[in-house]
Amino acid sequence: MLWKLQRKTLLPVQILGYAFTLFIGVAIILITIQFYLDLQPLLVKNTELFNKNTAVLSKQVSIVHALDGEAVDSKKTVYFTSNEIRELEEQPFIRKVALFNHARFQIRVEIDQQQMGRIGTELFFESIPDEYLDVKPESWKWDQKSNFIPIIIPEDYLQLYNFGYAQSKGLPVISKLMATSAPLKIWIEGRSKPFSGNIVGFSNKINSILVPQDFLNWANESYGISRQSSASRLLIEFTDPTDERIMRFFKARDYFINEDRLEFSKLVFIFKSALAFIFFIALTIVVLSFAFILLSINLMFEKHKETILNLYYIGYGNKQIARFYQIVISSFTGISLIAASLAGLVIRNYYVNKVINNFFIEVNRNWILLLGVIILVVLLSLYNILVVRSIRRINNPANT
Amino acid sequence: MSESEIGDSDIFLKQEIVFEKPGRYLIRAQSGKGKSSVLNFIYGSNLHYDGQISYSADFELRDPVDLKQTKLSYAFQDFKLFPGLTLTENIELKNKLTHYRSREEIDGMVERVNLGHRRDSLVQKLSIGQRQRVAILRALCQPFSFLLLDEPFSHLDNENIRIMTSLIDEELKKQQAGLILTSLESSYYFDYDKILNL
Repeated sequence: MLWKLQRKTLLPVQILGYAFTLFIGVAIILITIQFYLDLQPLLVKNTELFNKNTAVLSKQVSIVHALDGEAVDSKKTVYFTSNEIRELEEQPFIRKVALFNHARFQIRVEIDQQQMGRIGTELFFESIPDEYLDVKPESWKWDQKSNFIPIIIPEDYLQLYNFGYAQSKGLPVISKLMATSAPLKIWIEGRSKPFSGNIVGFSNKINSILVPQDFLNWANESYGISRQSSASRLLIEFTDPTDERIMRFFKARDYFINEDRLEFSKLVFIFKSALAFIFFIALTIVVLSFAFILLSINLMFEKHKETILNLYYIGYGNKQIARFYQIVISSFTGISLIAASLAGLVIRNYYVNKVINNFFIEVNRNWILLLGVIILVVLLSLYNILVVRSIRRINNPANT
Repeated sequence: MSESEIGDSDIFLKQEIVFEKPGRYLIRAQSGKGKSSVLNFIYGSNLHYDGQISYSADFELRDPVDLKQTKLSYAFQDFKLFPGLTLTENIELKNKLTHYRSREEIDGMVERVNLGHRRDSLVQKLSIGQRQRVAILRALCQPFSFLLLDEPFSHLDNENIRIMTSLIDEELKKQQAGLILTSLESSYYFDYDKILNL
């Protein structure tokens, strides 16, 4: 009876409009949050070197530097002084500065293979702290007892050889596998016996020939010619790579930083901003739909004030009068959120299949249902409190 | 109420007035003197008065809803019926709350006051006299210590008044409840323990 009476006070269009906008808003919120979480590993993985927002910094080698004065002087200008390093460390947008360590001894590497004969070349080694490496092969370790040195070369070198050098010289191309399986002999000036070595990995990020830091420290100690340790390249870790002061500062100091290296970070920033923007739009939709239904309900209560008052007069309590409206709003909110969650799951399923799986990243946990339930609980609690309060305000104006 | 209206009123002149069940009280005044207001004060639906209304312990005023469901029943002057519901539904709406009467009892009462043929009519299609009877029947669908009737028979003919008074009288006796009835100066209907002039 009560329901029959109260049902007539409702406008289905308002309820349906509310349910629909809520559905849209919550669906977008759920999807943006889940999408962000799902892509998180991708963002982290692709910024491996830059996940802590790192970049390689060097000084500009200009024509002036190269021709100016003596060779020693021109060389000095590409090294960072300790003052300059300290200055970098003090910048608010730089979290950490790490040095490229480089070998202070002559190195000759020979490929030891019967068919090819002995081909060898003079080389240089550098090392950086392991945390900045974008690849971490299993055999990337060195200890003093073993005679083995793992080496990481830039992937570009291999490409350069295969598509440039080998083509023009009519030499065979080398696959990664071949390159890593070729045994190397590494001669160090001052050591009678060669080390054995292998290319164990290819870096996309660090444009240098790398050996483990432990080895280089030890070797410099044992065979280094000069004592002086100077760095021509630095690894910079930014607090925020999108900080616009970075570029300005480096330009002013005439430092060179590969801007591409920051491109991805910028991209990530734009991507995150876009997601945040969509999220806030969706949040606004949800808040507006919430406000809309409360407003509708209150207007409806005003319009049917007499019915509500009469119910109260004949002995119905505020909660009993409110119950019908609570149930209606709760049901429609529930249906909306279930639909939004389902839509979220369907869309996620779609993009996981289409996009995420192509990147071979681990699929994140599914938060859509949990988030949906949380939003539902919050909304229902609010509605149930506010509806009773509105009814009470009509029936007991003196007490409120 | 304005000062002038308070003039020679029994209620407003006395320090204290006690209504005791199963006493029957008539509050008598001309229109616009505030008969309904006094009932509303007692019923707790109008709090705009000076002075104090206190109820005996068993009334438990702390819960105004409980008060309306079990202690005070009120047939309003403006009926407060729901025009979109049928005659029976209006009564059921109250009875659902109290579960005081069976369906048969309600049907019997409706029959007794000669409204059986309008049982399923919407209240908005009933005449004022018919609505007045429905409002009283509804008020009888709950346990009460006091029945408040606000000009209950103003639109009824003598025959219907006779039917209604006997029905109300039975119920008052059955429930050993008190009655507070407001009326214009000339009308009585019941034997009263006290008559108060407003």
